[in-house]
Amino acid sequence: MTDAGPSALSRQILTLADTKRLLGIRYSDWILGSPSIETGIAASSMAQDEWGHSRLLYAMLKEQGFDPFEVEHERPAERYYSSPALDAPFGDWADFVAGVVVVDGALSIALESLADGGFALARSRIPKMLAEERYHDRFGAGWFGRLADAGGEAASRVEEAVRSMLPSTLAWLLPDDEPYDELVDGGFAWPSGRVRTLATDRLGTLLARAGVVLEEVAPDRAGWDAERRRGVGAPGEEAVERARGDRNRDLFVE
Amino acid sequence: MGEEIYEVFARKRRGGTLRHIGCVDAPGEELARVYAWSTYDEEKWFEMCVVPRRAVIPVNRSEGPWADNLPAGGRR
Repeated sequence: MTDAGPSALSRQILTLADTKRLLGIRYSDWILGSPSIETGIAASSMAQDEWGHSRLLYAMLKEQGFDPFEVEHERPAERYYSSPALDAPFGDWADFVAGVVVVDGALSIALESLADGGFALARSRIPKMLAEERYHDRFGAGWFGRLADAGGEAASRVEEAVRSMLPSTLAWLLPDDEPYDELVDGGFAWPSGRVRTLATDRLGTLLARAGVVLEEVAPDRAGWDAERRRGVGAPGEEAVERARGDRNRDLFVE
Repeated sequence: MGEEIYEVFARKRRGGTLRHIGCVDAPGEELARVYAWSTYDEEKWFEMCVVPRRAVIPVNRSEGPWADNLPAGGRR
């Protein structure tokens, strides 16, 4: 990484990798304590998927002049490019489910966009990730519908969770800034309009079951940090210590 | 938000035998598919499917997990 910050393509890869790494941690918190054994196993599987995907994405940075080890294991929290919706742990199961639908859903759209562009490594490696993500989508749709259709406390909590995550996630997915324009111009990502349309097509009907009209939600770009492609803040230190593997540092085998 | 049991079947190879490999509790078909895939991931399955336990009709046994599904007059 230079003093001028990463290139537009490197920023895109970093934000995808960091968001997946953090999402894996947030999923892993619910392997035990989720509503059923099967749900916990699914959470474990999704956490592993996210970590596997993040490793593949970090490895893509080598071609961009980065040292993947340094990127994975040496950065402080304020150098993470992850979605703000993952800065804090999921507080309850409604947060988890909203995270699967909103954050994981946005990640898949951003991955599809990258895989459809001119970056060869993305074109070859991302399709397998997206195939695994289909189970995350099904999980999210199944649980989201279950909570939203239940009414009462379950429905209001999942709506609240979505409303809390959606504005910052939309800003993350649709960065209205120069590096993103550069990415689009270079043929590495879809224009924002296409991304927004896909997000509406894919998530709109599901979110509406909780009373959230996606088209009416504006991205929250307050305190936008163009280098990290996100708003103010950083993931919690407890998560970054795990993401970096701080407690395992003496045992690293690369 | 009740759950029901789904029986899980899978085959390792195209043309291989579809085997019963276990079951999962799920609140609906969509989550049953996810739970089956994540719970029984010890193999790289060519094909997996789930069947609600209530849909399995016993043929020659009147006890066991599917006994409740015996058609009227089907007990021997």
